[in-house]
Order: sequence, then structure tokens, then C-alpha cells
Amino acid sequence: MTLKLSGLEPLIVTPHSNFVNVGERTNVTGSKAFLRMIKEGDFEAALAVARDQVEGGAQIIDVNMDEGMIDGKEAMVKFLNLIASEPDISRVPIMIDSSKWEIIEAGLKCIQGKGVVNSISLKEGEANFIYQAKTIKRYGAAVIVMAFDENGQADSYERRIEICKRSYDILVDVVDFSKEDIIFDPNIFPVATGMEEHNNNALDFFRATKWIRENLPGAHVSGGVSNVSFSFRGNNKVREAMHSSFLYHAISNGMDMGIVNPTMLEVYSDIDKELLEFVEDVLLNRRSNATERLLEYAETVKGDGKKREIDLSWRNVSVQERLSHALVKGLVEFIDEDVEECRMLYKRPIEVIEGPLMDGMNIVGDLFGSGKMFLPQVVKSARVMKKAVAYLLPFIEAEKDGVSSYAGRILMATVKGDVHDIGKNIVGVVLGCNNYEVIDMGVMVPAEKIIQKAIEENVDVIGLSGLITPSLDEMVHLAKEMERANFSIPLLIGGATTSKVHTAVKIDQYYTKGQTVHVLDASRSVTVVESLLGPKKDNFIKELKAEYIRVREHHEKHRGAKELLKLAVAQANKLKIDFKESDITKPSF
Amino acid sequence: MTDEIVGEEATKLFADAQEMLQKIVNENWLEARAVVGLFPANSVGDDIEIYADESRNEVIYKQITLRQQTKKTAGQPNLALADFIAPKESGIKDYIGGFVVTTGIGLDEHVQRFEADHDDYNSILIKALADRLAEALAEYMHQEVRRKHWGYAADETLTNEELIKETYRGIRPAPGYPACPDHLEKIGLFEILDATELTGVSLTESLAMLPASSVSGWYFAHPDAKYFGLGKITKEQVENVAHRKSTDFEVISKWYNSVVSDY
Repeated sequence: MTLKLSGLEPLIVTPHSNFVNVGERTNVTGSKAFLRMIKEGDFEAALAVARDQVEGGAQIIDVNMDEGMIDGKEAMVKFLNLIASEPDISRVPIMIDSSKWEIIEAGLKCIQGKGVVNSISLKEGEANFIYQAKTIKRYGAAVIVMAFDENGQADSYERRIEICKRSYDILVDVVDFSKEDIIFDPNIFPVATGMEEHNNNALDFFRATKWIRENLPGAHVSGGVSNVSFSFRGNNKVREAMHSSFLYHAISNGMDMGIVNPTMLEVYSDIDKELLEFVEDVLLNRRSNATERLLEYAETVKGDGKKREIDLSWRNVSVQERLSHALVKGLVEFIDEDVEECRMLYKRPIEVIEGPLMDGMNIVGDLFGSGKMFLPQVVKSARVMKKAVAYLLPFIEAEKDGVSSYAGRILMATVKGDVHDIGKNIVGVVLGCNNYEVIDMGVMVPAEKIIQKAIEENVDVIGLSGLITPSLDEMVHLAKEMERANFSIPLLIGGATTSKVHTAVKIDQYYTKGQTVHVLDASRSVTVVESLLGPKKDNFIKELKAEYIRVREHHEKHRGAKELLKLAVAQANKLKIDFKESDITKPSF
Repeated sequence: MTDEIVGEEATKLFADAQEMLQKIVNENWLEARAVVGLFPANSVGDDIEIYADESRNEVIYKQITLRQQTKKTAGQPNLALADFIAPKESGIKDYIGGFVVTTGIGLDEHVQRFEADHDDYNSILIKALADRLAEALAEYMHQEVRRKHWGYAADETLTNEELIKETYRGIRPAPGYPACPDHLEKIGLFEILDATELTGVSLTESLAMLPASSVSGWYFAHPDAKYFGLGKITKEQVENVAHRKSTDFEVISKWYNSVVSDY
């Protein structure tokens, strides 16, 4: 069941998607700095906050203007309208976050694409709930439903599932709301508060999440993660560990979206083992004195927790965990010896790749996909992976069974006449990290060589790159050649001067037997290739074809819309500089 | 660097780049080469005639410049680079410069070394650094030209900050970029500078420069010269260009595909 949202660009949440990371900083209740900007009317700065989040990897941005000191409705409308004219922000879907219905409705009128309302609930009864849900449906947004009813907020497992079930049934049966557009927020409450009734807060959330995903088909689960560590404000080390551990368990129980501050997150596998045990004792309510033990421990690590000498303590864990750590942190120093040690543990060397190494790379992929790791880090991780694989390769070849464990084989090349390859190499690294075999033909590669190689190596995808404008024609040429050679594999187009419009208008039509796709940047390459080779490829290609047709039609309709002057008219309007000898210096050669 | 999300990683990347930069300098990893030429020149319509010597009798190259054709608001001109050079009929003796610089000599050897070690990180890093160094060399040569070789700003003393903001007089537009998207102009530029011979930078069949870490362009010195974007032009202008080049439209049209409006 797929949740489809969009800003200017789509965000498709499938059961196989990574966790969707919602930016939380454009929220006056959560950010003092943002509140100040809104109060002072400094919307420029407020936009910069939104842009930062999108650039930092937020896939949705939450906007909240609920503050007594400001006119929330006016601020919401103004801010959303400003966002709408900033394509680099409004490319992602907006989450309109308010406890006031009038603000939500005002916001719904502003946003482009398909956003999310955060939130509605049964708090004020069924009639109100139905009215709001119908209105949201009419505006075409998805909705977050709080586990809240006439009797108050759900604070136990039973209450959570009871309210969510009731809300779900009303939405589906009465309102006819799309199931996949329903997102539940089953309330993340603080743990380790010292009050016994709070001990099960996290556990109940996990259980409720699992129940929702199993019993309410299509529905998604979200929540504000930082709440859980409320008791440890001021102790970032504990909070970071708690957030990561909470997310780890919540995601494995089916939470697929959440409001998370990526800077307040430790990599799960990096959490100090002792701390992790204490934290998980608390989250999972594993022992009666869990809170006391964590509080005691917290006292010893107060402060920023950043005592970062060269810490080799990670060397003390199992070899599989060491490999994961090395991959996530991009550390090559011990990789050969760790791989060797691991090889001894497995029957076949390929299992080291398929097991611990891929596990580690999956963590890297997830962290990158959710905006918690950045490109330079991923490139370093890839380097560790490559070294590990290179170490194992002779052993694998000695076995000679030639069974490929790759998810697909991708041929990449910078086209004839072009020498620029930094972007292409980054795409290669990112694909390599995601278990694709990349055959890189380098730069200045003529079309016939690409065709020949693609046949020889039986590749699944061809990726072309180029920076200068003449390369665009070379790409068109290659598309024609692929058509002539009866290819049907996907053709990826990337590089500075390429665009979706050019791909749709100039390339796509010459390659009718397969699909041409423009890939905006390296971070998109994995999703695109996964979609092209995955089980739902037919659907993906169908949608893409339809989109490219739309782009072509739009282009056709609007071309010539910008009126150009006759050359003679333009020449008559040249810049007439009053040249003076005094302005000209004779060169001293 | 201080960004709360990417700051830490940006700082690490910067430190890695600084460290490699030191090695590039200390261990002579890369070689920089540059050629600059200054020539008597005058504009004739939208073309710039470049002369062999001060007698201005022999045209060694006729540079074609493209003119903006978008509708401008009142008072705004439709620019072409030729506007920044004194017209021949004015009788004023004007000049133009050209340059080709590279910092990519020796790069391949190091890239291959990193790739043999499965080290994409450093392979990408050194290429990115070499590209930056090429830009820096272009900037340095431009300053040398302004202060010494051409000398129209002999007493220019600008801070690094001011240099980055390009507060100096004159511009150095590059063929293939917004003011002159016409890659074909690189052929003439390279010829009059004898650039391939002198710097080792060659042009591919698509007129990309090889090594990639290279920059080429023209020097315009007039105080009113400024960067602009050509925008879209009409097929009519390309036909006119073909005529000015004494060639056929079909021969050159593909080079203008990306700037002609009805593509």
C-alpha cells in the first residue's frame, strides 16, 4: 500500500521505502529561533531554515505556527505562500501542523501538490472528526490521526489500538478516505520520568505500532521522537542514544515516518554498549530499577559527551559488528584483518559479502536515504566496502562458481567528446554501495563501444553522463543507436546540462523499446534504479512515460511563449558604449 | 561549516581537502600551465576582428559573438560581447585578450593510483581540487594580465574577498558558458594562442578541454564590460552566424541546439 505525497516532486512511500524523515525546525513550538523569526517578521530567515532542512535531507517539512503571541493563521498563510515560490523548498511535501482547525484549513488552501495534515482526532467527537476528514479529503491531502478521543489521549496499548481502530473505521467506512493516506500518531510519551505508570510508554508505542500495521491495512505510523527523552533534557549523549534506540525499535515494529532532529541522533550501532543496555532496559521496561540505573549512568556522562580521543573501544566487539562499524564510519585501517577473521567464520567467502558486509552497507544506505549520512561519508563507506571486496575476490574466484550476488549490473560512461566524470563517479559509488555491479567505461566513450559493451556484459541499465551542451546531442545519438540495436533496457541520463525537459523532449522519443530516465543527482540514482529493476517496474515505467508525455505537451504548448526579437531589432538595441581613448590601455607587450 | 546538520561532515571534508592540497603543493603532484595573448582588435557589427599587429591590416581571427534576443525593458540593451570592443569605424584602437590555463597535467597518474587502491573518495577529491586549482590559476593569470601584461589596472590592490566578488575591472567570459555558449569559438581561441602546443590542453570532438581541469576564455578590459547570460536566440541568428562564418547553416546548426529557442 503506497502513500503518495508531493511537493513539486513526488514522495512515494512504499512498504519497502526507508523511514521518511520529517523536518521539524519550521515549528514555533519546537524551535525558539524559528519563533523569534516569525515574531519579528523575518520571513527571509524563516525560509532559510526551511531550505536548510530540505537540503539537509528532510523529505517532508512540518510547519507549525501555534503560538499565543502570533496570529497563527496569518503566519501560516504567509509562510506557505512564500515557500510556494521557492522551488528548492516546495519540491518536498508540506506537513501543516496545528491544533487549530482554522489554521489547518487556511494552510490547505495554500499548499501545492499533496501535503499532510497534522493532525485531527476524535477529541471533539465523531461529527467534528468526520467533517474535518471530509474537508481534508476534498483538499486532497493525507492526514495524521492522533490517538485521542472524547475521553482524552491514549496512554496505554489498549487505548491506543481502540482509538486508532475506531478512527480508521470511520475514515474508511464513513468518509471513504484512502486507506494509504491515513497516518496514525499513537503518541510518543517520555520514559524514565520516575512515575511507574510511564514505564511502559515506549513499549506500548511499539506494540501499538505493530498492531496498527498488521490490523489496519494501508495505514502508516508516525510520531515526534524527541518527546521520548524529555526527562534527559540537557544530556545529549543519553538523548541521542535514546532517540536512536527508540527509532530502531519503532521502525522494526513498522513506524515508517517521524519527526526527528537528525543532529540529535547517534548511529545505533555506535551507541556505547553499556549505555545502550541501560537505555533499552528503560525503553523496553526490562527491569524494575531500569530508570534508576540509567539516571545514575547519565550523571557520569553529563555534558556534551564528546570526549573524542582516538577511541579504539569498538575493536572489542564481534568481528561482524566491527565490519559494520568500519563501514558506517568509513574506517579502512583494520578492514583486511577483520575481513580475514570473518572469512574464517563462514563456509564461503561470498557469505562475508552477503552477510556482514551487506548488512553494514544496508545501514549506510538507510542512513543516507533518510538524510542522516551525507555524501562524503557514503563515499568513504564505499571505499571500505571496495577494499573488503577486493580482499575477498581472489578467494571467491578460487571457488569459481560465478554466481553473482549483485542486484543488477549497470554500465556507466561519459559520452564521446566529453571528459567530465566527477558526477558520474559519485553515482557509481552510490550505486556500488547499494549492491549494484557498476561497469565504468570512463570518459569520451563512443556510442558503438557502449552498445558493444552492454551486449557483451549483458547489463541491466546504461547510465550516460556529460557536462557540456554538445554532449546532449551525443546522448540523443546513443538513444537512437540503442533503438536500432533492439535494446529494451533502461537508459539513465545525468549531468549538469541535462534536464527532465531535454530528456523528455529530445531523447525519450527516439528510444521507444526501452525507458529513458533523467536522474537529477546521485542521491536519486538508487531509487530510480531500484524502481526500474524492481517488481513494480511496469508501474514505474508507465507513470514515467505518462509524465514525459505531459512534459512534452507542456513544452510544446509553451515553446515560443517567450517572444524573441528579430536579430536586426536586437542589434539596433545594442549597448552603445561611448568609447574613449582614455578608457583603453595599450597592452605593454 | 557551522551548519548544525552538515557542519561536522563539511569540516572533515574541508580538512581532508586541505591536507591533500598540501601534498599536491609539497610533492609536486600537479603541473600548472598557462598561455595568455593580447591582440589589437575592433568590433565590426556583432563580430570582433582580431589583428596580427598594430597595423590592423591582417585579421588573424574573426570572433563571432552572439546577441541576446529576449525582449528587454526600456533602456536595457540587447548585449553581445562585441559591444565591449570599440567599433572599427570609431577609429579607436582597442584590444582583446585570450587565455588557456590547466592544472590537470599529472592528474591522471594520481587518479589511477587512488583507483588502484579502490579509493574513490580521494580520486573524486583530487579531481575536484584540480578543477578548483584551474579556476584559481585562471583568476591569478587574469590579475597578472590586469596589473602587468596589459597593465590597465597596474595599481590594483584588492583583497581576496574583493577578488572573489570580482570588483576588478574587466571580465573573462569562457566559450560554452552563459555569455558565449558557442563552443566553436574555442577552436579560434586555441589557434591564435597556439594553446595546444604551449599548454598541452587539447579539444575533443565535442570541444571539451582535455585535461578536464582547464579553463579558457577571452579578456575584455573596458570598464563597462560585464557578464551576462545570452538566453535563447532564434534560428534566424544562427543562419546569420553561418553567413558570417561563410559556411552552411546545416554544418554549424547542431552546435547551437541548446540556445536556439525552438529546440
